[in-house]
Amino acid sequence: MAIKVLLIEDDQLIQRMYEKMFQFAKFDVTLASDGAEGLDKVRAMDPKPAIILLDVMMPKMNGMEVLDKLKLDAELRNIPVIMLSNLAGENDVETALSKGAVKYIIKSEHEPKEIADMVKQIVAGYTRDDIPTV
Amino acid sequence: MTNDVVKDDHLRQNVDFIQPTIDLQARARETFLKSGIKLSLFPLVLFFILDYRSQYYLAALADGLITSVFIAVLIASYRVKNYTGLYNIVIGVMVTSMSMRLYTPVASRSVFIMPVIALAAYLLLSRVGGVAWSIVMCGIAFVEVMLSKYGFFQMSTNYQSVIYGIMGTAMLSALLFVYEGMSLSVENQALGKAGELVVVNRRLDQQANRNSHVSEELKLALEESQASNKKLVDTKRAIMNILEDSKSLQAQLKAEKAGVEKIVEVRTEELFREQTRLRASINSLDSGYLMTLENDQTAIFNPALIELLDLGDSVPGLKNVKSSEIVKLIQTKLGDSFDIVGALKDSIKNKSPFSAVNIAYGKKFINIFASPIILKGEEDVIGSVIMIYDTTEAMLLERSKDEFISIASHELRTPLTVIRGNASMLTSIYGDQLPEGDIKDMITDIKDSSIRLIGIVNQFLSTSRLEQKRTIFDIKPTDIATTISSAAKALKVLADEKKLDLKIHIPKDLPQVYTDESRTQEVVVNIVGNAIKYTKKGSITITAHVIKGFVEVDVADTGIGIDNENIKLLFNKFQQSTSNILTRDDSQSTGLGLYITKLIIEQMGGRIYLKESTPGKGSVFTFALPTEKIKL
Repeated sequence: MAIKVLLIEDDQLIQRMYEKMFQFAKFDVTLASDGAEGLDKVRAMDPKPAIILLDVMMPKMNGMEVLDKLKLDAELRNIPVIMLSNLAGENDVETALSKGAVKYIIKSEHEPKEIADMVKQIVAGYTRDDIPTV
Repeated sequence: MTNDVVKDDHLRQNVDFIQPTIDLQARARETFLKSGIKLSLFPLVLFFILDYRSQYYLAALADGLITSVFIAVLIASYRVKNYTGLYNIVIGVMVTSMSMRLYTPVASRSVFIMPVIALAAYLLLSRVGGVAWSIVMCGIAFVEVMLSKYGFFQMSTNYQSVIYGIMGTAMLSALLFVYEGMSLSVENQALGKAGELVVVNRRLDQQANRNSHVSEELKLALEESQASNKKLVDTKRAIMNILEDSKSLQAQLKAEKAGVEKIVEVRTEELFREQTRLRASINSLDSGYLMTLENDQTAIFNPALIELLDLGDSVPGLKNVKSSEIVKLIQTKLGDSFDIVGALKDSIKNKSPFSAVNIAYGKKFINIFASPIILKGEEDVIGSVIMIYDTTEAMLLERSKDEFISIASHELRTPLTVIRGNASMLTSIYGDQLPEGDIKDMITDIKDSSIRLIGIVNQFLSTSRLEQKRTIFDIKPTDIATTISSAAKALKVLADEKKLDLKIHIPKDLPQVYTDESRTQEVVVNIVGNAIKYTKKGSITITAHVIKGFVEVDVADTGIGIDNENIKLLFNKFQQSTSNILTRDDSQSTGLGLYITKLIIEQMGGRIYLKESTPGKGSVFTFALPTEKIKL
């Protein structure tokens, strides 16, 4: 069964790149271009996605705000969230992890295939500690 | 002196008057004594006349004699005391009683009763009582004689004798009393006058003595007074001299006072000017200035403080605000950002300054610096001086600088991510569809360049953060052997690719070091990576040892080595092993690696240096980390 993935990413080039990679990896990909749209989509999705890949810097609602709202929603709070960003500050990483993200990935540091592999690992039941850090 | 003469004459006259009075007294007493003896003969004669025919005439004579003797004795005793009436009565009673004793044995009881009655009459009724008693006795006798004469009852002869005796005695007593009373009156008067005169004389004598004493005393007093007067004159003269001196001194003092007042005036003016200058300088500060004083005195502060801390509404009039009041106001505005009240208390208690930077104050950021005020030569703290700086702009600038780097890095990374990702996907997903040769190589070059560019961006970001000291270090006790081994795993691949021997010789008994493990791994990767990069053949050896509270790690290579002239520039920014900026080495590095490494090591409390280097033979880079926790 295909892994149901919600990718919330405002940059069209990156969105398209990951979409291709995830399709190649046989994921069931849903796309959203900003935080608000992503939140609406995840609430509307049935069944819910197995994992959410969430950019940080986005219009309308940034990734951190989306993460907060996801964790406040009883129906959504258990969906693992991977933060995907090119913001590489220590504070950004710590903030995201403290809010409940399972991983913070700096996009430029990883090739799309590596990210697809991480998604597989996490969905397969890997805990955060088992996954190599950023 | 005139008064004394008058007094003496008066005394002399009084004494002349007193002398004849005393003679009269003596004569009166003599006359009285004689008449007393004469009078005492009357009972004797009377008793004899009454009884010369009876058989008792001898007894009567004897009684008369006895009575006369009593009278004489009593009158003689009068010289001492004046109890005339009493003596008369006693005489009468004694005569009567003696007669009764002689004429009738029956009347013997009256011998005891009558004197008692007579004495009681005198005591109770005084001299008048004595007279009255004599009259009563006489009256009773007369009544009894009359009653007997007219036959109402028969008196015996003896009884008649008694009655007659009583009558006679009473009458004589009365007469004697009157006579003697008169004599005594004269005598008393004379004696009284004489006595008074004596008393007066005595008093005058005493007065004269006293006057004499007084005169002596007055004389002495006069002499003393004269002496005192002389002294007073001298004293007056001295006082006059002193007054003269005093006037002179006063004039001098006045002049000096005027001088002092002038000096005080000048000094006051200078102080006022100085205070005004000081006040103006404080007021001209664009930073907040606050001086709190002990005992909650009025605080001193400048307008900049009020403006900076937005206290305009809270401190109306900007004056007469107590020290504690303004500190509390600031604390209220600070909220939980900073405990300025507590910090000030500690500062005063410990007599040490404190500073707090980048404190959130509403929408502003402030730096606070405070120092206790201790007067020179004293130990007590009299207050605190507090300087408050507005760092909002600097903070915003810093933040924008940091944000600029972050955003710039983010914006650079995003397209690089796309380039790298797509290039990677071309080779990994569609690699079998690509023709071998140039196209594949070109795609690989695109991917490698993007990776390199991403590395450069990361180094710029790291450099910026380290320079701004915004990099967060998680310093804790760390096993350096484990850290080095972990970092070396990734490097082993690179070494193997170049057929270099990567050797690690770390003693097992090394103490732990206080460091951030992740950053230390970055340092090891950088130094060992450089060693691999600049070594064509041979080995890279990592060793470690303890030296004076540090664990030193040596990374020795058999590489190209470094020229002496380049050694001092080695840890500079963008510095490579070549000396000319236009001349690049073939490592394709940015020249930021060692610079970043140095910043990391130093910000963790360690040090890094080139221990030795020989061109063509190799180099030894050393970094050291502390074995004890140190304050950074």
